[in-house]
Formats: sequence, structure tokens, C-alpha cells
Amino acid sequence: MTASRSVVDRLDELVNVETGELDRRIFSDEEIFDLEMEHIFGRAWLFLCHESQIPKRGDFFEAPMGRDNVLVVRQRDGGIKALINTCSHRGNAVCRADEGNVKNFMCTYHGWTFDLAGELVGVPGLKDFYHDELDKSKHPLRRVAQLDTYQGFVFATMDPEAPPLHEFLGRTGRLSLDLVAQRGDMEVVPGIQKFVLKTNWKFPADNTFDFYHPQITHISAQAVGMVPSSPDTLDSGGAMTPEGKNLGVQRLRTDTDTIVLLAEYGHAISGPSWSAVMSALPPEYMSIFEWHDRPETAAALGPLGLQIGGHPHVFPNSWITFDGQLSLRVPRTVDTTEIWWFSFRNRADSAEAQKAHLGRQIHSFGPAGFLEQEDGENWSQSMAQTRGGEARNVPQLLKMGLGRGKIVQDDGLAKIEAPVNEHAQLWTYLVWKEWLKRPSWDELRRNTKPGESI
Amino acid sequence: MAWRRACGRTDVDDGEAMQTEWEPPVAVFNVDREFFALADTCTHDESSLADGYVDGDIVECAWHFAKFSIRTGAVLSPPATRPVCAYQVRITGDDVMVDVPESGESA
Repeated sequence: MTASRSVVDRLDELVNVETGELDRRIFSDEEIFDLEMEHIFGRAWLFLCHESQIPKRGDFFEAPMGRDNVLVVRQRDGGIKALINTCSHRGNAVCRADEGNVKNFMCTYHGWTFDLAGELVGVPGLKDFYHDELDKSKHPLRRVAQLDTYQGFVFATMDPEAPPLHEFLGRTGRLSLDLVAQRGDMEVVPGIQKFVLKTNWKFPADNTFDFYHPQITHISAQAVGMVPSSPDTLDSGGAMTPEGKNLGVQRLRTDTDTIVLLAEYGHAISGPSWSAVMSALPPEYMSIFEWHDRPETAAALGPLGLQIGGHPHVFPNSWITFDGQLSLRVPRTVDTTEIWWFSFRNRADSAEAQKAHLGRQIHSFGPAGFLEQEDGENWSQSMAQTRGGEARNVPQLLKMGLGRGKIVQDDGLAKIEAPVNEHAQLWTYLVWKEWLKRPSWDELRRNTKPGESI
Repeated sequence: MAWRRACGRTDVDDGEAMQTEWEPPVAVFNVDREFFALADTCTHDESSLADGYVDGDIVECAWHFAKFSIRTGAVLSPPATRPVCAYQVRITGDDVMVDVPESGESA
């Protein structure tokens, strides 16, 4: 590999779809990270927050967009704007808080003040020092290129040429968000849980679809009953805790009950079917999922959408969990990723039901989540091994089911039915590679249309 | 000086403020159902105190966080260094009346 060749020219070698092999440099190379920031996070529609987080005039939430941080602000007229958090004078952040309510944003350097729409309204000493010659209307806070919402989920893009949000999400992306929205009158529980992992953002992103790892990675969480399971889906071989509790481990299914949906721009859904998930849950959990039986839900999700049991991913970095959470994987540097958890609850639920729901959510994922503490250890390990002088030359493998994924059109969606597989992970990297080539939006859509097999 | 009707008693909620459309504008505050009036423009910059953050009988300017006593107009925190003018208020029926200088008259 010669230094003179740009990584863009080597992308097809770095991600080999034929062999299911990835070069580990894609996780550690600074030049690739720069390209991701520019060509993926600088162009794609990115999730910012949910409308329920900013209900009142002046409410704001700071969200990441690539290397920028934007203030998502509820306007006086009820609309939403996203302002890049940098003063138009000398660049400082005009807001230091993660979220809150304000009447204005003031830069703490010289006191320039901006209204909720980002217009420059106050300049100390405008008359005395600027001789009234500074045109305030020319120096507002910069806004994102486009902002839109779907079912209360607020997205924005820095690219004025990007297709409308509805089209970018497509049916698979919209279905992913519907799987939260259809649960009821949903709002985000106040307090976004955030923590930092020493890993590249793509490791957690691809793990979204990995139903091969729970039997080993999550064996301890399962053994202590953190993963609710009906007894007939557990294998224990008679092993018991000293207290006499059954040390059951969830059986890995070998039937074709995994559903994979692949879509343009890189969105995908992969995991066990709804019926497979339901059959593994103990009976006392069934009442939680009554929303799924409502006719409105069936109408919104469609027949195939109703069969989805797990793990939608809205490209590039939003994972929607089975229990009504959205996880944002925020790339900060090539090997530092912030994980942000937005936990949703149904306003119509009783306080007791809401408390139980939040308990399930935060004990699974986030800083207090059994499952994600185990996952985080894997992702940091994977990252560390991209740096070894020789270890970096060992390819990363996504060969499970390689070439066996027959893609069929079902209800307008590109579907694969298969046992546990790595199709959606491979799809994510295949599409990731196309984004980095910086195609036009038309080319990108064409080049990321699912074919006949993977 | 002359008494002018600033607003109705129910136009300003407890803990809130309103700005009159007079020139110069006056800020009317409702502090625990007692009404007060201050010159609306902060003495530090050009911000409206009616648009500020009201905490009890203190208003904090929304731009640079100078604080003033709503009762007296006194400066309680920089960057403002001069007080704002406080005006007499009386309630007549349902009207909040403020005693302000007549045009051409200095405050």
C-alpha cells in the first residue's frame, strides 16, 4: 500500500463485499475519519432530538452534527430552528449548557447577544466603538441547511442539496421511527444519558445488527435474569447459582426467524421477528406490548413492519431499540465515541408503568446498563486491536451467511429471511464506502439500492 | 408627569412582565400580585427588561445578566452600573396606571 494513493481510491479494497473482509484501518485512519465528517456527517440528515424535549418557546437542546454542535431551539412562533453554536464575532460558543430555556443566547467573550432565531440583537458598545457602522443583520448565528421532523423526531442536514427528510429516510427509516412513535403518546424522559467510549463509532453502529454475540457477551446478564426469557428458551444444563437460581442462557435460534431489511442511503433493520421475540418473553411481559395489537399500529407499520422484532438503524448513527429508546453514536475523534441515550415513555401510562419502563431501559443500556457495559468492553477491545503493528493487518470478518442473503421485495421493502447472519453489518459498510466516494445524491441513491443478494 | 393606563390587571401573570408600546417603553412587573413599573431599557445595553428573567422582586437582563430591583430600579449586579428609573403605579379598577413623564419632560 503506497502513501501516494488516497484512501478514496482504496475503498473497494478496504471493504471487500465479495469476501466479507474489512481492513481494520477504516476504524483507525485519521484521513478516513476526516472524510466521514465531511462526506457523511456533513451531508446526511442527522437526528438531533425529539420535539417533546423542547415544548416551550425558548427551550433548547444542544445536539452534535459531525464536528459542529447545534442549538435546536423552539421559536416564538412554535417552529424549530437549529443554530450552529459559534458566535459570529470571534467564534466562542454562545451557549454552554446541554439544554434549558432562554430568551437570548449571549457569547461570554464580548457579550454579543442573539435572539431565538439566531439574529444578532445586541452588540455592547455598538455606538461608542463601532460608530453604529456594524450591520447587525449581516452577522446572525449560522443555521443548518435544512431542518424537518418525522413523528416528532427532529433531523437536520448541513447540505442544502440533500433530498427531503421523508425521502432520505425512505420506508425503512420511517418504519424504524414508527416503531417508537406507534407505542402511544410518546415523549423523551428528561435527562439524556451520555457516556464516552474509547472506540470508533462504527463498532457500536454495526453491533446494532449482531444477534450472534449475546450468547457469549451477555451470558452474565442473562444468567442473572437481566434479559427476560421464558424458561423453555433457556438452556442451563442444570447449572445453578449458590442460592439455587437457574443459570439459564438464551438458546441461539437456528431457524429463519431473522428478518433483514436493507435500504437506500444505508438504513437497515435486522433482528429476530416480532413473534420470535414474543415467544421468548415470559407471560407477565405481554401487557407491555398491547400497542402492537391496535389496528392503528397495523395500519402505520404495514404487514411486514408488524413482523419486525429488532434493531432498526437510521444511517449513519441512530439505533432504535426494542424497548423504546434511541441511541445516538456520536463520533468525537477517530477513537472516541459518545453514546447518547434518549429513553421514551408513553404519557398515557401510569406513573408505575413509566417507572418500570425506565427501569428496563436504563438497566439494559447506558451507563447503568448491563448489556451495554458488556458491549462497550468489546468495542474498546476491537478498537485497541486496530493499532497493533501486525494486528492491524488482520482483516475484520463479516462472512456469516455471505452470498446466501436472497433479497426479495415485500410490501415495498427489500427483505431477507435467514437465520442469524451478518448481512446488515456488511450492508452498512458497503453503503458507508459509497458515501465516502462523495457521489451526487442521485448517484448515491442509485449505488445504494439493494440488489438481488448479499 | 401624567398617569397613563399601561395594561389590564389580568394582562400580566404573577412572576411575569410586559412592555408598553410607549416611547420610551416601560416594563410592568407583577410580583406576587403587586405591580411595579421600571424604565424598560437596561442601562447597560439596549435590551428590554420586560424580556428579562424575573425572580421574586429581581429582574435579570436577558442579554448580559445585569440585575435590578423591581421595587426601586437599583442595580444589584453588573455589568449595569446605573439604576433604571422606577415609576409610581396605582390600580384603578382593573387598570394598571403608571405615572410617567409627559413628552418633552425629563424623567
